[in-house]
Amino acid sequence: MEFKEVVGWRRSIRFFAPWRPVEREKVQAILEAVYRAPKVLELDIVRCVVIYRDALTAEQLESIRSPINSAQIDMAPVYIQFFADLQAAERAMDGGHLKELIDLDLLPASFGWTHDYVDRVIVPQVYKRILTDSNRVVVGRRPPLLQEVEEQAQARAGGGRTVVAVEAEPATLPLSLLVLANTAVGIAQAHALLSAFDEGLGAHLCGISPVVMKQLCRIPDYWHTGASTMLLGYHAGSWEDGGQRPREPFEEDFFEGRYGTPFVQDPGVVGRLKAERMIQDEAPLAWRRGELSALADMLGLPK
Amino acid sequence: MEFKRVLGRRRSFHYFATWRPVEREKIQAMLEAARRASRAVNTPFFKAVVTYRDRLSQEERNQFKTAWEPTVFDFAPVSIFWYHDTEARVAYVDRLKRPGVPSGALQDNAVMAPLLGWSRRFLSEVILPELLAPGGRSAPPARGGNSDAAMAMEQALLCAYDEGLAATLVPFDEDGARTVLGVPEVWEPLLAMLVGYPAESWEAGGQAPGLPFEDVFFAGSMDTAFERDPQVVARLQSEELIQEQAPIAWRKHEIRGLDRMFRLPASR
Ligand SMILES: Cc1cc2nc3c(=O)[nH]c(=O)nc-3n(C[C@H](O)[C@H](O)[C@H](O)COP(=O)(O)O)c2cc1C
Repeated sequence: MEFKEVVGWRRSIRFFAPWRPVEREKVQAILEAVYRAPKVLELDIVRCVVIYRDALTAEQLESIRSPINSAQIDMAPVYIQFFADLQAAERAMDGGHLKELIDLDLLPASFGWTHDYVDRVIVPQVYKRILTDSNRVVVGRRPPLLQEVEEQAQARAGGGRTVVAVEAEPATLPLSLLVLANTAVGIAQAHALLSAFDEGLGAHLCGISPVVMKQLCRIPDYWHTGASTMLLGYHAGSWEDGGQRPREPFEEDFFEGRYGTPFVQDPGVVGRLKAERMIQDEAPLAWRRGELSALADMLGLPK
Repeated sequence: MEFKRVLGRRRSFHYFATWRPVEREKIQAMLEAARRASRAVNTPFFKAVVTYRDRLSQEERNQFKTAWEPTVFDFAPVSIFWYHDTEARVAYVDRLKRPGVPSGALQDNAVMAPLLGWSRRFLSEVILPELLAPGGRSAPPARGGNSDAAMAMEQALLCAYDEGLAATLVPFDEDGARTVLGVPEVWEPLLAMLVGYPAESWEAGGQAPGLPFEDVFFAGSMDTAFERDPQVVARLQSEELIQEQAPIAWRKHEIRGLDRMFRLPASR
């Protein structure tokens, strides 16, 4: 599909055909797109675990449900969970990967890239500073809502299941490392979401308890959790899905030259992007309520 | 351009055509793409400031630079500074003026349907206070990056390639940029996006190597690698998502030629 159409058709799809599996080939294509995402500071940070709904036990499935996601969890046949490997910067401290890129003529010497510069400047001034940032932030604290949700899930499951203690997560992280991790995950998620639609699928990001995800995916402590999960499947309803979601005025988001001077939206460009189907009809669509009612019947959702 | 080709073409460019301006309309298209990215509770956590090299003094440009490839700021005709607005969610909770989830606009527009459990009451009593403003509305804005802001930034970056441009992400100096751009203290820097027409070939030396696929992707749990099916790789090669990997035989000659063209110190 054309790039702009993919961006235009992407919207958070929350109704999936529960009975239609996603071909493994399409899952791989999505992962390959993530694989090609840019690496912030040339660090390999992102990891993904693909979870197939039907391979989960009833107890596992129950553990990831919450009031805000259980309908979608049940409908989507595939979940892709994103993690950030917090040891990536540490492993790069030998400068080995940067030197490899220099030797491959990807980082040109005329822009300052030499082995010596990597050892003398980049490793101590960039990588090491990320790891030794004295500005530390608390991580691993579950948002109260999810905590609540877990307790509920536990109660529903008869209270027999033990939840990993919050203390198992690192209490604080260097701020720069957390920024790096979140940036890398966001970049990867953009590739994954867009690729899903390019492959003819629907998807959305969904908050699932990081503690439960960590347990389910059996990841090591040094993988940072907390990223939302991508739910993936075939659309149960139309691709319009009620229309593109509203956005704030363009001029609140972007500035030109300096903060305070908005980047003024040119309607001519909007017209072009409409023709290229990146900007499409916005919600509400007149026929949406009828569609929702039909979807509820088909999918057995409470009206 | 086909989506997969856009992704395949993306790589880090260094040599921009310093003499060729970037049309403002292409920059707007990139920003429009950023706005269409997914965003938690439909809140815009990203902000960006677009700057033009030729409207900044050398001294101002120097203020953006860090140890990571400083000279690239002197090459690219456009630099876009991406930020995470740490106050976005508080603003959305407090003002309820924008068409986010808090305002109920998505329910009213039948996007986030109550049939998925998203009733207005659930929003006002649970989602809003607990999710959007944990620690209360008076809690200080939290730094630590933001994946949504990065997602928006990346959609803009990919759109640059679709528009026939090259774009590269580099870190920038927070204090220097604040002096030049006058951005609020509560904006946390993400990355600078350098944009222009490339002076080098679209190959730019070939796609970069990374960790083995099976060390990055897993099935079910981390105990099982997601096995890479070579047939899918072949399909993605034909769709140009996967392109020729570095090293490319003629790259050294290209770099020497580019260095001569830009009168850069001989590379080797
Ligand atoms: C980090 C993140 C978490 C999200 N979590 C949820 C979620 O738990 N449930 C849900 O229905 N949508 C979730 N969304 C989707 C957003 O609500 C959606 O992107 C936003 O309303 C804009 O709509 P659009 O994606 O259709 O353009 C999430 C999005 C992001 C970026």
